[in-house]
Formats: sequence, C-alpha cells, structure tokens
Amino acid sequence: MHIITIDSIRTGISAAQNSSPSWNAMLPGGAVLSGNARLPGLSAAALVSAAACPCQIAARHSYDQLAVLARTTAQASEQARSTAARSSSIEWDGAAATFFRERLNASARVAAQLDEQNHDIQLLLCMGG
Amino acid sequence: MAWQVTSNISGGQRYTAATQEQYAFAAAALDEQAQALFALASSWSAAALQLHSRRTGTICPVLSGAAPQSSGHAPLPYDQLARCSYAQSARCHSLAQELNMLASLIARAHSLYSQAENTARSMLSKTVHAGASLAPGYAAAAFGALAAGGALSSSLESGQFNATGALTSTAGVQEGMLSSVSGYINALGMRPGTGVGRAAGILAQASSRINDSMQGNMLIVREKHARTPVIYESHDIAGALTNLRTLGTQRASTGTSSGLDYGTIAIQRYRDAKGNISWLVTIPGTDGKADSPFGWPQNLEVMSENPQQRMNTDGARMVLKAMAQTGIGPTEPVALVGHSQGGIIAAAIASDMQKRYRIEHVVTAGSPVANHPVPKKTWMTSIEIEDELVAALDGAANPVSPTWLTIRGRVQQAAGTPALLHADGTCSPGTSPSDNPFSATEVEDASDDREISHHLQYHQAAYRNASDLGSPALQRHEEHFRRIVGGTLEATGYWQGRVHHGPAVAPLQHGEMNTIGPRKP
Repeated sequence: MHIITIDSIRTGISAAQNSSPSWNAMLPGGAVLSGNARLPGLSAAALVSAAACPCQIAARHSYDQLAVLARTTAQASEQARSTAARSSSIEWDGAAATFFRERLNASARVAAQLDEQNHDIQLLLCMGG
Repeated sequence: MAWQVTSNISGGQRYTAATQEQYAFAAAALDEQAQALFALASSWSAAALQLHSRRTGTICPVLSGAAPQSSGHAPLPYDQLARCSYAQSARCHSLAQELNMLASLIARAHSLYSQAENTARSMLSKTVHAGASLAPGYAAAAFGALAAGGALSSSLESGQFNATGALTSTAGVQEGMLSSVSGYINALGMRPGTGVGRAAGILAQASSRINDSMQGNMLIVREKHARTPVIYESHDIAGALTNLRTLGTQRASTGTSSGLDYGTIAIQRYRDAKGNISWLVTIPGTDGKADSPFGWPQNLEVMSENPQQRMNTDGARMVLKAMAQTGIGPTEPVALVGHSQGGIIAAAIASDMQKRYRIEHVVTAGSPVANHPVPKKTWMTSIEIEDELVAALDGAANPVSPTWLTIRGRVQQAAGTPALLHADGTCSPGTSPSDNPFSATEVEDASDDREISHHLQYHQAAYRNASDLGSPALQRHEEHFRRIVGGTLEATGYWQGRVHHGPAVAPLQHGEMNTIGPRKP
C-alpha cells in the first residue's frame, strides 16, 4: 500500500473534478495540513482512476457536506460559549439568576461536546477507505 | 390535575437604560444562537438521512464485483457517520432549547417585552372596542361563540359541565368588550364617552338604591376579638397575601374556631426600631352575604369614577370607620392589601383619602383598579390572572409607571402531570415535566378540574413565580412594602361590618361598636 500525502490526493482529485476547498476545514482545529502530512489507506493512482466512480462521487459529496456542517457547528459552538460567558456577567441576583448561570455553564459543556463529536466525524472521514 | 401559573411583570422601577440594554442584548444573543443551532440540528438530521441514502443507493462496480478489484473504492463508514450526525443533531437541538429557555428567562425576569406586550394588548382591546362599537350584534355573537367554544373545551376536559373555559377563551378580548359595553351604558345614561368607571357610576345609581331598599343602609362597625389567632406578623407581600387569604376563609358564618366570620377586616399596628408606627390593613373580597358591606352590588359603586360615590360604598365606609377607630394618624405610613372588592376599596381609599391618610402602598389581587386615580406617591402592586375576568372589569390595562407594578399570571396545566382516566372512559392527556423550575409555580389547593382563577391562591402563585424571577422592579416594590411592615407587630384588630335597616344605634362603648348612619345622598 502506498502512503499518499494530502497534496497528491488533492492534485489527483482536482485533475478529474473541481477540488473541494473543504478538505482543510475537516481536520481537527480546522488546521491546514502541510504538504508532508499523511493520510494512510488511500492510493493516489487508484483515487485518480476511481475519481469518476459512483462510490467516490458519493464519498466526495459526503465529505463536502459533513465538512461544511462541521465547520458551521464549530463556529456556532464557539459563539455559543462566547455568548454564554458574556451573559453570565449581567447584573442579576436571586435564585433564578443562580439557576441561569448554572445552566449557562452546562450549555458551555454541551458546546464543547459538539466540538468533540466534530472531531470524531472528521476522524471517521479521514479513516474512510 | 395540578395547575400552575406563569407570571409576567410590567411597570415598576427598572435599572438604568444601559443595564436594561445589557439584558436585552444578552437575551437577543442567546435567542440568536438558539435559532442558529435549531437550523444546524435540522441540517445534521438531513445529512444523516442523505448518508443512509448514499450508503444504500450508490452502486460501485468494483465493490459489487462487476469490475476488477482496484484500490480506492472502499466505501465511507456511512452507518457510523450517520449515527454521529444524528447525535450532533440531537445535541444541537438540545443546546438550542436550553439557550432559548435561558433567553426567555432573562426576558421575563426583566420585563424586556412588557412594553411590546402591553402595546399589543392595548391594540387588541382598541380593535375589539371599535369592532364592537361598529357592529355590536356581530361582536356579541363572536364573543358568545368564543365563550361557548371555551366552555365546551373545559367541559370535555373535565368530563362534566364546566364553563370556566369560557373565561380562558375570551381572556384576550374581555377588556375591549367591557370598554365597548361601557360606552353604550354611558350613552344610555346621557353621559357619552367611554370609561367603565362612568358606566359603573351610572349603574350604581340604580343598583345602590335597590340594594339600600333590600339591605338597608345603616352600617354597624364593631371590633371583634378572635378566640384563636387568625392572621400573623408579615414582613413581605407574600406574607400579607397569606394573611389576606386566611382572613377571607373566615367568611363561613358558623364553625370557625376564631369566632370571626364574613365582613371582617384586620388592622395591624407595627413599630420599628426607632419607635415609628405603621399600619397594615387587610381587606377580603366580596362575600355576597345579605347584610355584609362587601356584597355584590357594592362592587359597582366602588368602581365609579365619582369619588363621592366610591367613598359612600358600604365597604369603604366600614374600612374608613375602622381605621379611624383604630386611631391611625394622618402621618403614619399605611399599607392596604385587598382581594377583589377589597382591592378596589383599597385603591379607592388611596385615591380619595390621600389628604386624610398617608397611604404608601396598596397591594391588590384580582381587582379592576386601572381607572382609579391613585396618586403617584402611592406604590401599587397589582396581581391579576389573565382569564379571571374580574380584573378585566375596568376595561383597561393598569398604568405602567415606576410606582405601579402589575404581575399578570397565566394559568396552565402543571407540567409532568399524568394522564387521567375518568369514570366515563374519557381521558385527559398528561404533560411532560419542565426542567426550568422558574417557568411556572404550582397553585396550592387548586381543584383538579379547571376552576375560576379568581381565587386568591392563583394570585399567590402568580406572585411567587414573579418573585422567584429576581426581577429588580419587583424587588424594589417588595423593599418599599417591607419598609412599612418591617417593624415588630404590636397589635392586630379585627373589625366586622353589618348593614341593615333601622334607625341609628348609639355606640355602647368607645371602640366597641359604632354605627354609621345612612350614606350621604
């Protein structure tokens, strides 16, 4: 099995179809992989030749769709945590206020779980093949 | 079946505009995030479906064996991805609901939408008023149809005839309809113009004469001594409401261990650490007894726009006599708390006796007092239930000002109640529990079936729910009330009123029995 870099896969796919800009955003933390980063399990030659195969078209559509969703969810999660932090500081006392702040903290934890699940999905996508 | 009340607050003193803006911004931001997450939840759910579709619908010639094996044709782990997508959808949805609930909590606690709600309610009332004025027949028919539908609904729900649903279904249009009806009465009385107070005064001119001929207009006020304690020291509005309800339950003419019965008010004297005296007057509502100063006809009189007519009411005369006999000084702070007619009398006294007494705070529960000219120096805390009808009899919304705070409660079935199977085989659906303890407060001692929400326990629940929210405006009103009853309770006096025919009776002893002569013409 040949070990293929992201750049070569991207090049191969681009040769047959428009390249998907969402590949970069699928990685943990949205970091852009360098040309030396590696994804095991895929053959560039096979991918190039299989670029037009229905299974690869379906895979690409799935990658794109989930990548966009993951990116949007990551942004929403970040904004939710930020909003929760700002809202927690409003001037308000009493039992309802205490309940409010406790639930905001809980919401921030749920937002963090969204990010973890995003990461798992990204790993599944990368491990596909 | 348990019942609960959700409260909204309007009026009262707020924080600065900058702080209010903070609240509004926080609520809007949370709501915006919630909407974005709801949309994401839908998208993740759709993605999961599409992944399933691609897994089953995509045919790869290599994977299916129709073409030679070559690498790069391995399928995605669609099942796992779909499960993850569903999980993301559920998590997004849950987080969205949470943020939505928290946005709503801020909005209710700080009355962020009270102005918009009041405006909407006012517009609806004016529209109904205009419609009823232009086409009274159609308006009456529509109102009747609404009421009938509501009565049918509540009857079906309880498995027997129960017309209380008529009050709920017509709650939104009661003020407008009453305002319109008052216009007709005013026109018939040769005093054109709107205003329930004017209409009440016109009707009361006739009703008071009829009542006097039946009941008499000789009012006897006597001090009573309770055999057992009835009401206790209270230092907040909730405590005062509890005492009000307890006093109201003494209206049974026989069988109370205290010896008190209907037509009885209480006057309590407090003294603070500096030796200053203050007073709390507790006035129950209509008891409907034939010889009570708090009968049904008296409601019309005390709602009149005419101050003299208001103060001539048997109930108002009785309370004023008791206050005078108790020795309340003109500079001593007084708080009045009343339910239904008791609240109307309290508001009337605050409006018309401001030169005689220093009425600093009035608490009303289920009382139509929007039209009473209460001076701005007197703080008003009004508690109303949306569908109780009585509070809407003034045909108008309460003024919104720093010194007039209104709590409006909405009654609904308590969350988390099980489904009920009735003897006739019908069933009432249950509800799932809410995880927000401040969304509503359960009504104590409520009937299982839907009942009239004018009972004081509903107002108590409404106040508790509003109080739990930590509203700054309500806290200020509470503090203002506590300043009056913050001292130590020194004495509780009970005063009973009776109305009958006959000549005036000379008082036996000072402070024990007093007779007030016929009302002034």
